[in-house]
Amino acid sequence: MSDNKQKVILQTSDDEQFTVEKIVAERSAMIKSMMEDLGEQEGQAIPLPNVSSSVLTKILEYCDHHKNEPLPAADSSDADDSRRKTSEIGEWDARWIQVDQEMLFEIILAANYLDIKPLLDVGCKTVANMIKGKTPEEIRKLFNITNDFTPEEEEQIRKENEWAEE
Amino acid sequence: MDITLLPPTHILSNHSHLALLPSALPKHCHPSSSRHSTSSKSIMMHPYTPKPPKDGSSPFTTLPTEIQLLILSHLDLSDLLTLLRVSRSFYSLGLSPTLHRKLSLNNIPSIIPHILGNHILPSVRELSINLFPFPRSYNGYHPNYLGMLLSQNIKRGNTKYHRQRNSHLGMVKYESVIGPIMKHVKFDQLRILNIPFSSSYLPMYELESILENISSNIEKLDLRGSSLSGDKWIELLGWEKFGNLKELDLGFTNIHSLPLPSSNCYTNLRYISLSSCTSLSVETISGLFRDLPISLEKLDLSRLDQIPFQTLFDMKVIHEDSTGVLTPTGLREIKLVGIDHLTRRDIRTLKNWWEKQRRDCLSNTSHRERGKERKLSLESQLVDWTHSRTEIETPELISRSSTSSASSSAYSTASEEDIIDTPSTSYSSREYSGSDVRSNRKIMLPSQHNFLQSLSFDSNSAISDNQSIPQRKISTIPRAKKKIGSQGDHEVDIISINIIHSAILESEDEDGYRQFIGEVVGGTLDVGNEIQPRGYIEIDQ
Repeated sequence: MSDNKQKVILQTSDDEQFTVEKIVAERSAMIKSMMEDLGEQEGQAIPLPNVSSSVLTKILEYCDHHKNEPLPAADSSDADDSRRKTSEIGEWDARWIQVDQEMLFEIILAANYLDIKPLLDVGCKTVANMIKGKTPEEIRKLFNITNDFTPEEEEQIRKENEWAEE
Repeated sequence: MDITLLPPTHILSNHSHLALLPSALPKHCHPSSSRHSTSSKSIMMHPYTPKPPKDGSSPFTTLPTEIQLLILSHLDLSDLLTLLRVSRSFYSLGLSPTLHRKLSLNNIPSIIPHILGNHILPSVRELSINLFPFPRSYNGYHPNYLGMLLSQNIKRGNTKYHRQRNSHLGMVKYESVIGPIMKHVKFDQLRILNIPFSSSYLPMYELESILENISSNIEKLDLRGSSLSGDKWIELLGWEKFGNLKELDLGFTNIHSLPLPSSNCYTNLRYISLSSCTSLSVETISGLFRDLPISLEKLDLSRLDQIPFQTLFDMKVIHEDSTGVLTPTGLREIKLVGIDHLTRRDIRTLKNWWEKQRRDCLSNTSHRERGKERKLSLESQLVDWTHSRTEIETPELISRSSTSSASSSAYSTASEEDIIDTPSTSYSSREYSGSDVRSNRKIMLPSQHNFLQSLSFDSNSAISDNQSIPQRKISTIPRAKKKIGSQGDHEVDIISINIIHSAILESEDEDGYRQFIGEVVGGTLDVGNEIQPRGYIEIDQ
């Protein structure tokens, strides 16, 4: 399909330009609507001031892998529910997202900005899985968080929630 | 070789059948498959965890709150509660109302902790309490174990209560374990309440007071196996506030009656389950059937042995509004599992009869819109119809035809006399090729039906729609069977009613069917044992 082979130019925050297939760029609902607004202007770069080239490279990898899947339906609450229920991350996605923490959170932020719902979902689930089953101390270590509770305060919260731990 | 493919006699005569047994297991039950589950579990136990940034920065805390909440929305309650202890900012984050819209409790503390009572419960919109078979008590928290024991003796044997903290000795007041929970719930925002199988711990008066507090925002109520009984409960609850109710499960209760649909209390109801309500009177059920809510899509009548065939046969699957316009109701699925007196023939009869009502109703609508006036007596048509199916020609059906004045208008303008010899021919191409020539006017369907609204077909598409009707599993209309069109799935959806009457035999799942047949074969083996007491059968693991 010649239509799918159309190219789009994306310009990152560090002024790098990426030429990508339209079908890949359309994974981003934000870019898609921008393209619709801009119309068929050849050679016009779409500025992405919130995304760095390293993050965009990574995200385009994801978009390319998923380019042939159907786009998620525009925000319906039903879709929201079903996404939450399945906490599984696809095998390819799980391997793809094994990046360092800074990159992981930048991907999440970019996915939010670019409005790529499945990617945002994969990112959030990955972080949630990191938290699952950990103790408060482990979570503090994981995210470099300082404990600003007194030991008594922490103990009180622990006691209050004991009932749920079975 | 699959043992289930063998005739029972072959199995009995073949003592070396042991080798066949493992293959008779459905694939997913095979012992080797357990290895997969453990390996996937180990992946879950050790998810990818990147190291924290070396410079000591905390990228998580710099995320916008909106995204932090999105991440935390994937956590369950116990992880959220752990999170509260991490730091003050996590404490307030973890108690954000948006994270606690849904709450599912399998365990209830006797004293409601501050966090649960003041932060979590007031945010809840969908509450499920699953304490079946009886509430588990948390060891460290029972204020008065003796009181509990006492109450068990005072109240019904298997009922657990705990003593209210502030009551004085001598005037001890008992309430069920979920009483304290309910005090913190904001009923006006509660949309879903599931308290399945609560009868062992929730007495009726308390359930009634919960139901009294429920606001008209409630959309789903699961009261399966609750202590609801008799018919006084209807008066106690204002049913008019259940106008938003979409799903209602009253299965396994001892209710005697239901608010009848004629009181217009079920404006949005899509699903109702009355399964195993053995005390429900036939009058109530037939009252429900007479006036089936037009929004109703699924109806569960499993194990309601008291419903006679005739009552089911009288069910109205089409709806007549005040102006006399007929539309099929939304009913798509009806569950009749475990009603022993219904034979397969009964089920087929019901299905055909209901679907015929709807087909006639649809074709009627089109005829009426064309302004053709036709008189065809209801009696002759129904009698014709029953006669045309010789296998179900029972006096019962014929007598039914003379009493069904309620649906008479469905047939009063049915079809052209010169064409119809029996109603089963009303879908022949002859009629529709005729009507094609006659008129090309648009057919307007009654507007109160959404799915009908989307069907603004002209007579041409009406023809193709009607021709494709026979795309159904069971059809006793041989002539219509010949014409299977590719179009008109939509209309088939409107007409067809899926009757689930046997969970196993009707399942599409072949493994399940094989397993069922395997069990039957196993039963035969037992019989064989009795006949030949000396023979034995070893079961190989």
